Amino acid sequence: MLRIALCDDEEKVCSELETFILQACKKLHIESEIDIFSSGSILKKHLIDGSMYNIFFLDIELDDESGITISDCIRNEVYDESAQIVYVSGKTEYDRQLFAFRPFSFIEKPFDADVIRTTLEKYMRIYGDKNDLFHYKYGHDTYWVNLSSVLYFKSNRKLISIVSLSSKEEFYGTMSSLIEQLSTQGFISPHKSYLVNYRFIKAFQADAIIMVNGDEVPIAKGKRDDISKLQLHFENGGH
Amino acid sequence: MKFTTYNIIYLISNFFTIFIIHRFMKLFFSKNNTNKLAANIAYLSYFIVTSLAYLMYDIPIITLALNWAIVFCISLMYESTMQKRMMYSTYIIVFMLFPELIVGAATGYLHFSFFVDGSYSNSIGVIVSKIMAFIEALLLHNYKISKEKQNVGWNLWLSSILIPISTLGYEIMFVSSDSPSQYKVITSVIILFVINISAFYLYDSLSKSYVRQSKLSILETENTLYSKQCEIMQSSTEELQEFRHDMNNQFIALSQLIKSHQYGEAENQLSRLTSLTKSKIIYSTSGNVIVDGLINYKLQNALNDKIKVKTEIAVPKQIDIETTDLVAILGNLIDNALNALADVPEDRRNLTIKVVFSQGRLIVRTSNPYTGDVLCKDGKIVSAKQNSKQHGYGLNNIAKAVNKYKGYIDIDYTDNIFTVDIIMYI
Repeated sequence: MLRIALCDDEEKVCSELETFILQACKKLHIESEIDIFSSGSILKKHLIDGSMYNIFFLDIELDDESGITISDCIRNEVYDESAQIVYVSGKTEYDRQLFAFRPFSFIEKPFDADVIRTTLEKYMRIYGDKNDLFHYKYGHDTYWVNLSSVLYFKSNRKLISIVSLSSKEEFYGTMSSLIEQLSTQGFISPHKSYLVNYRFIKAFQADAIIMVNGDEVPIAKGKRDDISKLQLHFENGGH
Repeated sequence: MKFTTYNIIYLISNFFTIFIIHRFMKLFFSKNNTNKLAANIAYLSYFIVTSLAYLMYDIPIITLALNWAIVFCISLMYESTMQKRMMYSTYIIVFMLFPELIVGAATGYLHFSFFVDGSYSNSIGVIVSKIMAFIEALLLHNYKISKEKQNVGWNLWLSSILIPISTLGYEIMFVSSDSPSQYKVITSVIILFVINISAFYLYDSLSKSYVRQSKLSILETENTLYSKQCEIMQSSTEELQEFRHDMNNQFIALSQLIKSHQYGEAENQLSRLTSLTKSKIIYSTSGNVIVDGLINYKLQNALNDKIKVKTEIAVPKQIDIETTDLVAILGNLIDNALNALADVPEDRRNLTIKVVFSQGRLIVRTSNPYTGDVLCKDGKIVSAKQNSKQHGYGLNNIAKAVNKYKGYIDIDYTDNIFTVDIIMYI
């Protein structure tokens, strides 16, 4: 289930966008639930009260709040690094600040059904049909962890650590089986002992990946082209 | 102390040593901290102090220690840490001492002591060792700039060796010919050193002016793009006025249709209007002048050429890519696409341009249909047209620029669609 929040102070814009999103979801066989907010402050209040969404469609120029203040609330107040933010705007000039919130994409008004469909397509291409829980065994007990909170897996021989924003767990397993299980769920393997959640990447460099918590994951020399290629596939689609 | 020919030549070569040290300093330290006068005095003091020491004592260990001390003092004129200064001063002394030892050994001066008054007095030997040290400094300098990714032409490498050696050879021939006078020998030695110094300082100033010139040409490209962007904005404002006028008439017609209850026709009219507003002539309005200027300028005839352009541009006003590289990449990509589209039937002329900045990456895509065959040679695309080599050249320039940012290019030409995907880390 994809939880989507729309926020625009013009109701007509919201309903048009909702129609387009619903159409696209139907076409792409995505189960979705859409909440509409006609004011930034209401959305902010909901977020602070604990509402969580997978994707936000935020108008950049709202009356009471701006796309920037809401993004700031998402990333820095309720610490949701996993949600994807799509900016909606009549302008195509974007403030440098907006890029710091790791926007998923930008959508121009008036809407183009194709653009909205490709945006959702891209979301599915990267994060796929999420089976959000990851089960693992430690000793005789089985545990689970929410995949959308995992930053990355790191292996040290057979011991694999699960690094998430707030905790660090460990279990015994192999990287190769982990890769097989998770490569369709937005995880990439830049190095033989790392498996990284694409959601939580703050910055890409040629030879390293910087995670949202500041951890640096190396990209193995032999994997650089593959990682670049994978990013192009995620971001642009095709082949 | 007599001013023998040897002594005079020693002093002249000692003066030349200033320039050798200066070249070494330029090699190891990048920035001069003090004013020119202080630096000149420091260099001159090297000449005076070591010359006096030579004339008075000439004990190798003292000369060596003095040399090191003064080279270290000179290094104080440059921006660096104390450890680095000490290390590089030692390097410089070793680099200068090395040819002297070799020449000494080659001229049969093997059993000397560091602590006893030196009795070495071979004029040619002194000159040869200085020229060798000079060559060392030149070659190391070439190596340094070639490592900094600037191309060092083979002619610089060659002249770094040829000029010092050929002038030296000439000098040796001159001195060994039927015993010229002291005056002539000394003049020729001075000329030898002057040629060597001026040749390479001339080269330095030439390369500096080259750098300045290439910076100017970058500025020129930027200026052209800015002015093109202005022209396009100007013409689009005029077109917008016209459009507004046109729209008003359309709305009048529309309200007439509604008044006369012709709703079906009104709806048709409305959808025509919507499509009209979507056909734009400005394709990029990101606020990044280089990206906007380039895309809008290259595509100014797209509408006339019946090309349907789809853009996705999301970049901040400033991005950390050199203008020339951005121009090389986007300019060539769009040129290639437009070239290919010229041969495609009008109804299939679609062009997609994507330039997106996200998480430290610049992601670019152009995609267009093409006709004919894509020619490959050694795994590289040479041309999409049989009679044109331009396509391939363009792709080469793109690859060069992308490599600067450790990026990656993916080219796909299946199903008669030519797609170039680029990622760069900035």
